[in-house]
Amino acid sequence: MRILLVEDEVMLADAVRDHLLAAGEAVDHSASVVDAEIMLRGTNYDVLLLDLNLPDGKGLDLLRDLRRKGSATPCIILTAQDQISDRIEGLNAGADDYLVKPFDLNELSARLAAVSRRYSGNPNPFVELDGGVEVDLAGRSVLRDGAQVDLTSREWALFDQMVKRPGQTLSKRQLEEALYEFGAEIESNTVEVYVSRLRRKLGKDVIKTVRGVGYRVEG
Amino acid sequence: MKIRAQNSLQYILTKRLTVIVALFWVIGAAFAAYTARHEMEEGADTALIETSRRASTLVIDYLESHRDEGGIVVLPEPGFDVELGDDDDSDYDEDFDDFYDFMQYQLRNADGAVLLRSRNAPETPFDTPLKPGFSNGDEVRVYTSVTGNGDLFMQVAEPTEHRNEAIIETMLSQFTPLIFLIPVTILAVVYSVTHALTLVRQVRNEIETRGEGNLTPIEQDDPIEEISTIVTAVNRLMAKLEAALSVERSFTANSAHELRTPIAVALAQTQRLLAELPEGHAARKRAVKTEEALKRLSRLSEKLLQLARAESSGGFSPTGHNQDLGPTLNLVIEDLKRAGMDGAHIRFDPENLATLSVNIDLDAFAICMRNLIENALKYGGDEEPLDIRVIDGHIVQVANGGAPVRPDELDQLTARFKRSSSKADGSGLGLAIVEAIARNTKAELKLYSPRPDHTDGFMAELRLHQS
Repeated sequence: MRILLVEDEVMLADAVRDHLLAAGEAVDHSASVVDAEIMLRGTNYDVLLLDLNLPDGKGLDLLRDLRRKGSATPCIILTAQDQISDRIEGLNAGADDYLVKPFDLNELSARLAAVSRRYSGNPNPFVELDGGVEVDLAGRSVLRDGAQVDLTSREWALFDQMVKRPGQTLSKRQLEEALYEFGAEIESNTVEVYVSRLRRKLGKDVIKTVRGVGYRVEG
Repeated sequence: MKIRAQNSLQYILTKRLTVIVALFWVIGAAFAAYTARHEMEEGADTALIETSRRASTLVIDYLESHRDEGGIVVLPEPGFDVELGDDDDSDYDEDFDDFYDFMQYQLRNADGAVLLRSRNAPETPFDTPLKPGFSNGDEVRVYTSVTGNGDLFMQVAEPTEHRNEAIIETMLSQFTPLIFLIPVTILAVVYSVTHALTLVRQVRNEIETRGEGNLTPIEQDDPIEEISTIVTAVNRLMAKLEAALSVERSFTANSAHELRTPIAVALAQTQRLLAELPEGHAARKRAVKTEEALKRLSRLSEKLLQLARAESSGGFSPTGHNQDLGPTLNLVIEDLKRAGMDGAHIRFDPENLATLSVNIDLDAFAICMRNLIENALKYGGDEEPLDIRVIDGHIVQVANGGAPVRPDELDQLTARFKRSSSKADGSGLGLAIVEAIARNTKAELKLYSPRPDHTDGFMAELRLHQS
């Protein structure tokens, strides 16, 4: 997933970013509303992690503005405001979830995964694919014919994008965005390399190539 | 028109005005009656003197012309022909039909014998002394004057009964109208007071219909000076109170933010450290302990901030009236489920959820419910889920299984830092927070252990206030 983290507390943002990167997510960080707006204009993010009190404005105003413009980017609010009225205000502004600081990083991952699944149209974390492959999106585990298959973070990040949308063809560009954090260099054949590795581990028929368009999995 | 309770301004004003007006009226009438009586007595006495003076010469002449008739000479009644000297009916002049002479005359000699009398006077002498001036007999008031050559006494008498009758009639004419006027006055006073107090009632209704937590200014459409001053003073006081409460609320909110963020940083960094340390590293154990301590600190700071909020702010609904809190309860439960607080162990019947309508602030209610549910999840047994029920639109019950709490311990559970069981990792503040909010919002927290109709478990019942 490509995630935009909007958080002005640098030490907290560092820890969250490191945690998500380690989990194979691509994370961009912004410490202000203005920067966040610029980044949101340039990139299609899968999830927005949004702090409410920012140095140059309110996170809720940024979210409302996004929703007014028709953006459907999933959003999880990360805030120290713990009252239920704050939570209701956040959800009414268009947030999908609300996490009060201090939070457990694993809980953040679980919430991210849940929101992401809801948006992909399949909230069920258990997916069965052709070729006897079973995937647990919440537990991040893959079984091939009942045997555990170990994937690296980047292999998982790419595979996760396809599994969440079984039957849907994803372009190479979409898969690249899921692989790298903002600003990282992307080699022209990176996606092909990881698809090839995944096919070796999961079987050559699990990921189908749609010539000139991209890749898809069938479930 | 409706007379209000005895301690109402309307009742007091009506009563006092009526009594004062009636009293002054009666005193005025009594004084007028006294004056009238005095003047009437004086007038009647003057009439006796004048009659005595004017009639004495005529009476002596009449006596002289009739002395040879022997016995007491009797003056004829007015209307009888005096010249005829008798008074039989044939001599009566009918023009005197409406005339009745109350005056009685006696002409007496120095020995007191009656020489002449008017027809309506007694044959016996008046029972008063032969002394010039006024004197009172049993039934008459008499004026005596000396006449002739000083050897005769002219006595003119007026019956006391006649005089008293005139006085009583005058008194009645004074007091009779009061029998009607006083009730009319009462009605007029009640109407005037009721009408004049309309604005006072409007202000009272405005205050009466607003809720306990409503500190917005009282509105006045057409203020009168006395009420306007009171309302302005009350509004000023409420504004000060609102400002003070707002400062407190803002302080606790800011404290929450300032405290939570560094804890969040410390926890996240510790968790990253833990993730980056290889398995078996010596520092890993310490990192795990630090993470646990930070989580405990996080929970404790959250509870302390909740307690500060519970004890500082009013906690009533901002409108001052009931508000529907079913969706809020639902949100709290969903939130706890999503946060992984053993959501599967919550059994909630949403049947009466829509009926939950109470006068309490949204956040205060959420804090109460979160604490009661967390408490039940922490201390309840693992064998059965906890039950949440809404009853009669204002009672929320949270019941859990597990071993019953000792009766002496049950009474202490709402005290701060008191836990029913040391094995559970609670802050010991949850029920104290709920109790503090209940106290500020006219709600009532009741604790039962064992649960009603069970031999084990624990139930917290929050009876919320309805406006």
